[in-house]
Amino acid sequence: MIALSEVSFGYGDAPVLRDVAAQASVLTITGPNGSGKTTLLKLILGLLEPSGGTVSAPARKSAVFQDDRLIQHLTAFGNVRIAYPGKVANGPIAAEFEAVGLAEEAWRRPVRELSGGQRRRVCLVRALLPNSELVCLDEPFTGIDAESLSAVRTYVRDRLGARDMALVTHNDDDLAFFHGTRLRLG
Amino acid sequence: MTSTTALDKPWVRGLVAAAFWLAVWQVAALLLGNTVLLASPVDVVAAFAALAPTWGFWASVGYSVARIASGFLIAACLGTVLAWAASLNRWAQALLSPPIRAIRSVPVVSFIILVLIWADSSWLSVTISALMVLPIIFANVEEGIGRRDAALAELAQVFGFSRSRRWWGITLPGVLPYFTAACRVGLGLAWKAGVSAEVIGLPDGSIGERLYQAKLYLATGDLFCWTAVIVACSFAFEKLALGALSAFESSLTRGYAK
Repeated sequence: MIALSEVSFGYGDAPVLRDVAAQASVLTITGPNGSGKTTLLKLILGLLEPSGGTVSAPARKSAVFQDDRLIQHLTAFGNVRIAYPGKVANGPIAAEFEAVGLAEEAWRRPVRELSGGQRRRVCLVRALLPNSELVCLDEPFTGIDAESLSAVRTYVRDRLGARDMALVTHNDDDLAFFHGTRLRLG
Repeated sequence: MTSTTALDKPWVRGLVAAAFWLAVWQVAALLLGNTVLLASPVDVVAAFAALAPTWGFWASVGYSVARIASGFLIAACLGTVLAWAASLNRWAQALLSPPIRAIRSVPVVSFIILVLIWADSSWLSVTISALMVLPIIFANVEEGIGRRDAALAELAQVFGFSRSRRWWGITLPGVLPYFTAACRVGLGLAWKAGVSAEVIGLPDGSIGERLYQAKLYLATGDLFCWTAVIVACSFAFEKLALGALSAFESSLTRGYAK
C-alpha cells in the first residue's frame, strides 16, 4: 500500500508539492507538466525526502523511469539480469521479452543500438520481472507504437499481479485501463 | 577501374605515403652526401642489421622496456588509487591536489637531476616515466569518477543493486573510458620522458646510453636505428596495453549479457 500523508516538497525555495495526500494500492498520478508528478514518484521510491508529511511504501521497489536509465554498454539481457535479485537464466528473461513484444534480434544487442520503443520494452521487463512489492512507472508507454500499446498494457497488468503500483501518465486510456486511485496534481 | 579501387584503401595510401617519404629521405641523403649529417634509410637498415644479432642490443631494449613499462604501471595504479581517494574525501583531495599540480608543472629535467642526486641512475627511467604519467591518470580518473551517471546511481538504489553489481555494472564501466584515454596519452609520454631521462642520466645498458654513444661517435645511422627501435617499442607497448584494456571492457559487457 502506498500512503501519502500531507506530503510537501520543494527544490530550494520553490515549492513543488504541497500537502499531497493519498492512500492506494494502485495510484495513478496525472497533472500538467511541472506539477510534480515525477518528483512525487521519486518521493515514493525513496530517492527524495519530503520536506513535510510522510511517505509510506513497500520496501522492495522497481521502476520504469521517465528517462530509460538503461546501462548503455549492456545488452537487453544484461540490463534485466543486473537488476534481478540473485541469478537468473536466459529462459525466463527471453519469455518476458517475447511477451512484451521485443524482437529477438534486439535481445543480445547493446541497448544504445535499440529504438525508443524497444528500449521502453526492456525497461518494462526490468521493472516487472524482479520480485518487487511496488512498481513505479513514469510514463511507461512513451515510444510504444499504437498497434502494440494495448498488448503492452495488458502485459504490464498481468505481470503486476497483486503488487502495488504508482503510475504517472498523461494518457486517459492508461487511467481507464489500470483502474487506480487517481491523484491529480497542479 | 580496379587500380582506382585499390588506391582507395587506407593501407595502400599509407604504404604509398611511407614509400614516398622514404624515397625523399634517401634522395636527400644522397644529395647531401654526408652520413654524419643525414644517414640514409639504407644506412639505418645496415645499422639495424649490425646491431640486431648482438646480445647488447636486446639487453638494452629489455632494460629500457622493463623500466619504462614498470614506471607506467606504477603511475597507472597509484594515480587511480589516489584519484579514488581524492574523489571520496575532500581532505584527501585538498592534500593530494598541490603535489599533483606541482608534478605536472615542474620541468622534467628538474626531476631527472633530483633523482640522480637521491638515487642510482638505474631508477631514473622508472621514476621519471611514473612521474610524467601520474598526473594524467590522476586527473582523468578523478574526472571520470566525478562524472559518474547520477541517474544510474538512483537506478541502483531503487533496484537494490549489490555493492558488487554497482561496481562491475555501473562504476567501473563509467570510469574506464577516462582511464583508457589517460593511458592513451600516458603510454607515449612514458617512453618520451623515460628515454630522455636515460640520455641525461646514462644508466648502464639502457637505450638512452646507446643514443648518447651514437651522438658521441657521430654514428647517425645508429642514432636513427635506436630512434626507430624506441618508436617501435612505444607502439607495441601502446597496442598491448590498449588491447588489454579493450578486452577487459568487453569482458564487463559479457559478464551480464551472454
